[in-house]
Amino acid sequence: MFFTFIQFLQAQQSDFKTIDFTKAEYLAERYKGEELTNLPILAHHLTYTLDTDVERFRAIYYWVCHNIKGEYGLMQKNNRKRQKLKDHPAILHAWNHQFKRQVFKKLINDKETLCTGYAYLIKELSRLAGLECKIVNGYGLDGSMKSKNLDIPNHSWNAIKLQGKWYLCDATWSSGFTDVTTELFEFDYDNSFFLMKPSIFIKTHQPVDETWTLLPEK
Amino acid sequence: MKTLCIPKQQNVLKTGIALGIFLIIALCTTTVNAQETERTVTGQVTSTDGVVPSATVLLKGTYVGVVCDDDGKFTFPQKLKENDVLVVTSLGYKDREIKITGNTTYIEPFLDDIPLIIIGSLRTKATPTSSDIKKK
Repeated sequence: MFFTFIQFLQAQQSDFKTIDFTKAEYLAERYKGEELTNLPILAHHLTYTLDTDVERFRAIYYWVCHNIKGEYGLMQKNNRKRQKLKDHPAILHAWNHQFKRQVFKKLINDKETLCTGYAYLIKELSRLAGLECKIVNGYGLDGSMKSKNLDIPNHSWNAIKLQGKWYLCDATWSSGFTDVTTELFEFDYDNSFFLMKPSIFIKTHQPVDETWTLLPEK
Repeated sequence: MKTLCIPKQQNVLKTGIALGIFLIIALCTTTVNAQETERTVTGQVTSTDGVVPSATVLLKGTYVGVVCDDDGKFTFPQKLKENDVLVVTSLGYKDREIKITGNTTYIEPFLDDIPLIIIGSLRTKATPTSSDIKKK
């Protein structure tokens, strides 16, 4: 009984099952291919005709997941460098600064990025549409790794506040996958990472700050 | 003599008041004129890393604006007047608001950096999808 109650309390996609996302998705489709050079206008176009915050967020999330590609080379380069420089914070900091510029340039020019780029874009578009959104850093666990093997955070995703409640989502993993042999990205929208139930999300996403598991405290 | 002096003083006083009023009116008109002087504003967006290409410059509260060129340069498409506020936005930087004052025709908005640590993990073909997790 208690367990059912907790399940019911968890912030998840089904909280909005009465809301039809057709219009939000239609808007995302309509503005497919738009450039990232004019974010305020893009945020406005994607959201201004929608009635609820969850629809506005849906349009932003759907647009990002269908327009931004994962860049495997960028990810590998970053991971190698972070691992190599993990004991040299000053050098790592300087490297991160110049790499950050490179990442944003790639995102704006080619609409290709890695997870921080996805999470940042979701946050920025949300902010411009008047929504409160955060970037959560942590450990993303795919089949090949376990958290204990990761000594530095390797993934970022978002928490979004809707109707006064925080929800979790991961646009990077929703958008598609990279074929490791060819290193090519393929769009393959996975809706389950949109406002996923925290008790399932935690299996693949462990935040550095435990508050963002959104699970009830033990 | 006295009777002659009084009108003279009154005259001086009157002239003084008239001049004062004239000056006040003149000043007000100039201020109004300055506020109403519309001008074309150009500029260049910069940051600690130099010029910022492709930033967006919008008139606050509207969607009237322009995207900067590769050198961060822009010419605002609408004439601006005093107290208009421009909002400069670019991915990876904090927004900057610039108020148009006096006879401003050229601005150099400086965008502050955002503290962001770049990390990355992408879904690869080996990554389990949520349906796989549920099956477990």
